[in-house]
Amino acid sequence: MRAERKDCFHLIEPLLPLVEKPARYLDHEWGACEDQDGPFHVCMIYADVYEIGQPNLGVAILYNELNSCAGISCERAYLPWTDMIAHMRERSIPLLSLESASPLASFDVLGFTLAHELIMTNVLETLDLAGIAQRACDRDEDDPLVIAGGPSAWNVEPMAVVFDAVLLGDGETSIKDVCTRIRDLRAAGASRAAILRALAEIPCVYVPSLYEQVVDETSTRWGYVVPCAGEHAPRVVYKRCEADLADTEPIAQRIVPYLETVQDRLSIEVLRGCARGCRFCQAGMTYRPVRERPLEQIVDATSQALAACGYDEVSLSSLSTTDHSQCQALLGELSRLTGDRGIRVSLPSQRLDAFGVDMAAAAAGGRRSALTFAPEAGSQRLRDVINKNVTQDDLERAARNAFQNGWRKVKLYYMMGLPTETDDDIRAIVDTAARVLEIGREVVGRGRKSGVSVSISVAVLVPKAYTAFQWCGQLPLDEVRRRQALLLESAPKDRDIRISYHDARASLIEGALSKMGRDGFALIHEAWARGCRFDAWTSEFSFETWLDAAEAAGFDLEEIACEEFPLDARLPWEHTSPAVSKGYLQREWRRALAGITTEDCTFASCTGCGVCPTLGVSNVIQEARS
Amino acid sequence: MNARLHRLRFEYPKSDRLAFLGHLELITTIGRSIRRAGLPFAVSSGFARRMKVQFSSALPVGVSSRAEYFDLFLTERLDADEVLERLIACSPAALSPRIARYVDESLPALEAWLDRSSWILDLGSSIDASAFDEGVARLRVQGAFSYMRGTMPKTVDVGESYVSHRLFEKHGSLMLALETLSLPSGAMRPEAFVRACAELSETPDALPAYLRCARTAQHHLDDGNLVEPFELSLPKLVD
Repeated sequence: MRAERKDCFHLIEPLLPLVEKPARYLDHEWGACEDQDGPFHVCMIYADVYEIGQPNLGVAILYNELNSCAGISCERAYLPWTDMIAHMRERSIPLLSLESASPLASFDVLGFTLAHELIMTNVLETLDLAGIAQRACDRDEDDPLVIAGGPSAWNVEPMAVVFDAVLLGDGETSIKDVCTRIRDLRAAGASRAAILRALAEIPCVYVPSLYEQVVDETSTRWGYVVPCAGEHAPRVVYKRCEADLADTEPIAQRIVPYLETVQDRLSIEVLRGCARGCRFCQAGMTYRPVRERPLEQIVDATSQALAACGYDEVSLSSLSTTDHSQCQALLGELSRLTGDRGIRVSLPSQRLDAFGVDMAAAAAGGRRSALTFAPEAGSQRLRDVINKNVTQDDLERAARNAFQNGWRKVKLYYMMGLPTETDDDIRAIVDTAARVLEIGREVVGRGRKSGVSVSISVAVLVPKAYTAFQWCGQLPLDEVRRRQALLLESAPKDRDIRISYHDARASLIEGALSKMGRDGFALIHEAWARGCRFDAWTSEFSFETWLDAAEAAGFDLEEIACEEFPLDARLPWEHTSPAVSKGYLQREWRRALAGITTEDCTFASCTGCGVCPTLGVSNVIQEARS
Repeated sequence: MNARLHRLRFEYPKSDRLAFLGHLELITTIGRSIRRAGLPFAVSSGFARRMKVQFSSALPVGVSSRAEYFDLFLTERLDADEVLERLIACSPAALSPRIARYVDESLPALEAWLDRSSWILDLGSSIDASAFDEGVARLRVQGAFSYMRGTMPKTVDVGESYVSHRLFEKHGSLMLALETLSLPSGAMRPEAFVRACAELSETPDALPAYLRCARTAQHHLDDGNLVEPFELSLPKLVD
């Protein structure tokens, strides 16, 4: 039953002195939409703490779009930290929205952002704390509709029973279409089932309850998903794609938080999509095509937003900012705009060549913290396999340029467990790091005071849906440990080379959840019931609890994550598509095995991924790229 | 060559929900308000170029205030009331400044200079006034107390930090008006003082879990005399 909409801040106010970081729960930030009159109420939820969720660009975009619609109000909610959750459960206080402090169960629509696979137990915790049934089929007629979207929606099947609807792709337009459709049908007295069928008619909206899982000889053990008999839902739901980024709001995040967040700065999305074609990268496939925002719009919006928000740093965000065809001119304009006000410009990632370093230098001004590159693989052979179109010469030139430009610390990001990887590829990681260190010493000097150092960070490949590696198995834990040991043994005994690696056990959970079909919900629910939440937090993650949950649910996590799928098998996620064709991904897989690279279509000709003809869009590049 | 800077002092409250901001959060929030107001603030030199601004001593999280202060160093001398108006328009209401006056640029840093604080605490309806007075007396005889600040033990010299106290009733609650002096070694937290007194009066459970506390005034103690924060203000300037 729908809860009453009322301000319940008085329920959590007495708890504020008892918890860490009470500023997480205050609302009233500068730029927040205080006018929440509705009468149709939506709440966007990021199922992690405020400082992680607040900077999320996706939530900000949808918040602005909905609050600009007449008659619709949109608020935010985050999952409280464990101390607050304990106090709220002890006192039977339900989860509240931030702006009006109303119970989440009083809203018309709740929208979750699925940022990564390890957030899934937090989604269940959020619903439970809100007093809302975790399974869509258990919700009452007038309960909120629970929708979702975001990067992890590309294999949403393990959570399909939770969501009434899932939005695929860009959300600017589709969120308004969905919410106005729900509002109008609710007003007309339509049943919940009728509303869901109507939502399935909107392009890009997947309504899981209208589909069923089929396991047969053409599928993996996780099956594939088809519309239920008698339902007219589309067999494949394609993502929504905004054709031109210039038509969207350049600065989505206008709420200025009180407490320090993970990206505590003004963020402007300078381009969307990346066509570099790295074969492990899900974002590179699912956000296509590339759409650059024009320079003038970026500069004008940055100028206005800095004045309106008061930030002292602006980040040019995207998957590959230095690929923007106007990047050099843009940094020049922004430097003139911000130079004498103590405002910094930051780039989230550097292209691995001399141009990338030049751009980093232009953005950094006088500051020189560590410069980060992502070669991803140690050997040229393996970089060709993953289509990281970077040569050893590129890397060495970039490193030399970085040291000549004043940097002393270089970070190198790699992955382990890439297809065809051998021990020689692992050794090549430390060889490359040693070479970069040697270049630094040649340029800067060899004494301890030179301060030259190289850090290597090595993650484990998690094969994801809609990548050329979606058929691959993940590296077993024991083999990860052996290769990590090999990495350490191979490293030169030089304290200016530092090596770190991610927790392979968390990657194993991520890998299993990335592969499973609808049956995966039993695992997630069992893990949540045994106390798993905040799995992306090292302090909270319990691998043992996940193992126990898997055993209780009848699964073997390692077996699931490490399983290879046949290239021609029907996969659990093929009914929800970013429009990259399966044939293209199969071709990319074969080219990977042959060590053949594929060019970036924004620099060369079309590579036939299928996105543009399927969605009727194309790359939008402001000037010729170089 | 250093251009002359103009030191503008602001008084502002820390009220409502924003009493729960930590000191760093407060500094960041006010810094962003100043940037939004487009004021000609001075920026420090060096790689990390920061706004030149000084704040009075940190309040504990959850403690509100009627009288907080910050000094902003400006590169241009603007009308103080005009600056105040611009800053009010760009500040959260719960931190909205009330007074702005220029002060001498050579004054000591605010945090050290404003060393006397006045506080009001709501002790709730369960604690007995005479028992609490007894607790204060015992604590003063004891001379010091220790408490855990987070995970760190902290010892407070009551002899120097405690100045005076007064109890009175309001709406059925026992209210405490407390005067404290901050020392170079640190400031005494009013709540820690109250709980130490209640402990010594053997009535610790009579206090509420959350003690409402507000700072009501800050002064500089100069040879036994209290100096108002704006007492050394320059005459109001009108450009």
